[in-house]
Amino acid sequence: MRARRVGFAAPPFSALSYPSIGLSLLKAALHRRGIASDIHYLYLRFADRIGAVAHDLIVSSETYHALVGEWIFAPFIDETPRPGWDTDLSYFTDVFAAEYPDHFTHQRVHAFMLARTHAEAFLEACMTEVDWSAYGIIGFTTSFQQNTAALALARRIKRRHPETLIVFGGANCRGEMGVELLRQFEFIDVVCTDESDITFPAFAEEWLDGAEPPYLPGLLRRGSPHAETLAPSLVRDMDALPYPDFSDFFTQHAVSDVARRYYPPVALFETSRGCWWGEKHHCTFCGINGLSMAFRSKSPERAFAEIATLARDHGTDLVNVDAILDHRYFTTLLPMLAELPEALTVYYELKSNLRPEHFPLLAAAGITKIQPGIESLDSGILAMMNKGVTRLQNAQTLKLAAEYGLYVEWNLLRGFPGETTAQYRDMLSAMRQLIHLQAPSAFWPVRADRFSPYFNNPAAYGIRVEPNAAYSHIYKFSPGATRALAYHFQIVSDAPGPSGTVLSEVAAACAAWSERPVDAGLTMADDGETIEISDRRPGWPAATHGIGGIEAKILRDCWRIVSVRALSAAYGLEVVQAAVTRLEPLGLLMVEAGNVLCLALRNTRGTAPDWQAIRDRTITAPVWPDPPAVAPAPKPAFATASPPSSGHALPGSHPPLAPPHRERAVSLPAEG
Amino acid sequence: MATLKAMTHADLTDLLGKAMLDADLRAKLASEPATTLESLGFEPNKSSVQFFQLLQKNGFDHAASQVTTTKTHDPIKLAGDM
Ligand code: SF4
Repeated sequence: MRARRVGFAAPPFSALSYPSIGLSLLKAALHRRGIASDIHYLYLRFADRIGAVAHDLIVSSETYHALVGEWIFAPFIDETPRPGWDTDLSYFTDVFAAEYPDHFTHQRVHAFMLARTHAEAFLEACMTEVDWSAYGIIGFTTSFQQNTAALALARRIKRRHPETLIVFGGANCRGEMGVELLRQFEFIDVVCTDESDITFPAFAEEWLDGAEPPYLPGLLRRGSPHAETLAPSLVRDMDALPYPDFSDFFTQHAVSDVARRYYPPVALFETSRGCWWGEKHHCTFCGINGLSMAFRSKSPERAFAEIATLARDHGTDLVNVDAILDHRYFTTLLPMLAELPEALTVYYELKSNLRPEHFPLLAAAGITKIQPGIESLDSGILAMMNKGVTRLQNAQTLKLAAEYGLYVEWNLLRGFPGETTAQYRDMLSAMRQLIHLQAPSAFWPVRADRFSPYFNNPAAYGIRVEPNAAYSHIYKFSPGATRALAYHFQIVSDAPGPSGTVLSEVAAACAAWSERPVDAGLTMADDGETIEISDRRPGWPAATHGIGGIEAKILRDCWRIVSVRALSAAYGLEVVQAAVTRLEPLGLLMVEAGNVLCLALRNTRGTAPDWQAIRDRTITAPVWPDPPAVAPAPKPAFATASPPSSGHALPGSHPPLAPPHRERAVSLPAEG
Repeated sequence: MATLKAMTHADLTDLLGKAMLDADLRAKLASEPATTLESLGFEPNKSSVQFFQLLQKNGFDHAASQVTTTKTHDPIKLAGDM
């Protein structure tokens, strides 16, 4: 008789503030079928063993691609670690120090070593502290750096409880990676190679009832009587998904010494899957959507109800896990969120081709931390990656986000095949102009993740892709098998790239940008006649510019991107050219391809607000300017893709876009 | 002469922990890794010597590479970090 209960394991390493949304959805889906389950947040337990500082250093995004978390548990995938594993320093000398020379410090190494010396005892503790025999099925989630800990524990559980079915799922099991996991690790019985919201609960019910589960697409089973394929079983009706059940996470977080002290728990929510942009123009480096790029989203009513419920149950700080915001939500979901009695603080990923009217809507809805995928400040490089935005659009996003009190998370990426020194020289001058806005978090080499166009068709880009060097220190298989298990790949190209000198200069400019003084702003005060611009940006002469006449009108019009043609229609070409020729060298205007943007902020702060000020809700948006005298710039042809209609009924009872004259104050009550 | 043993990860963790609190030991490991390891009873193999040479590049001997942290009540503090 199989135990009619499912156990789930969320192994190290993962961010301590967040639950596993995948497992929490499966828990809720199993509950609908009358099957009880428990999620064991083992990454919280491991953090308690090694401490917050060591955990921070291991999961740090600064050194993410060294895959330290995978290295830590790698020897213990085998129950008897490989001979010589604990005297081998080649991972440090050949991988970590080579890839992250500036981060190869005694303190980091000590943290990594400390974690490794705890790993085996931790696995044994997991075996004794959890009664795995209570479960007929044990499911492991593995994304990012959870593979080796998952494998090490699964092997131990299977040896002691051979009757239990071991199931693997998560991003590390997608496609070929899942096939290889099943091939290499005999203790895994089933792999979910893509979305399994529908298939896993159906499989579990049959299995736990002692029946022979039918063929289920995307679910690979050892010794299956069916011919199986990798074709995923995608969730088409997102509204049919249950609300995730985070109860296990919040209970376990509350008793984790490290997590409760330093990492406030935050509920996650999902409103869509896939990417509407990637369906048509797949960004060349992006593998995040795996085999399921098809964009699907929840109806606004359903999304709203779920968000409101999560906020009521788990607090108003919420993190969205979508790859990209459904643009239809600007007129549906966002106005609904803005009417909630308690203000939210929400993180969302979206596309940088935002229109100016989107910013107050985001702020009013509480979507105050955004990741718009800026990636570069050069339009040529952005085109190479198929990003569908220009430098000027990225600049407008940074500017309007600063004005409306939105925190922008973004990175500069380098290493795109075909990029040149001249492009980075040009980028340096753009960075100098934008230094009062949100700084990039990092200047990183672009990767060719599995499922990306670079990975799928490297020859088309004149490159080769190789698994990250760390993988050969993690898995001791043939190169082919290691490649099949890998998700992160690096680009290898024989073509000459930008000079090392210019890349060093950009790296230095990034560092200077993030360290700029808090008052290093570019502000614009307007009495209706004269505009006074105060420039305190580093790298520019401190100056106050009094600007009147038509130049002032042009500056007012350029609060968002406007075409020179439209300005010329209003003021005459010669006048506009003269104004642009005078104001651009002062760094007040950014000009590109016949379009213009004023860079000064319409407030007294003049810089991007820091996260604390945004959280404290002290940022008040600018008064919406007078109706523009000229039409905004037309959208570039490649930025016009809009999400496909999925037939959602749009509610008529919610407010339309805010009228242009309404003051969109986002000074909201502080949380208690 | 006593037999030298290969330095394990546990030994290295212990040694780094001590070195972070002992400027003299740090300086010796940084300037003379082979002899210092030997004097501590470890085989000064190529990999371990290279390891300390690489650490030295980032200021190991004067502990210039401290990671700053606000997590002052960490259950397991890293030696020398606060
Ligand atoms: S990077 Fe973002 S916009 Fe581009 S394909 Fe991926 S998810 Fe879509």
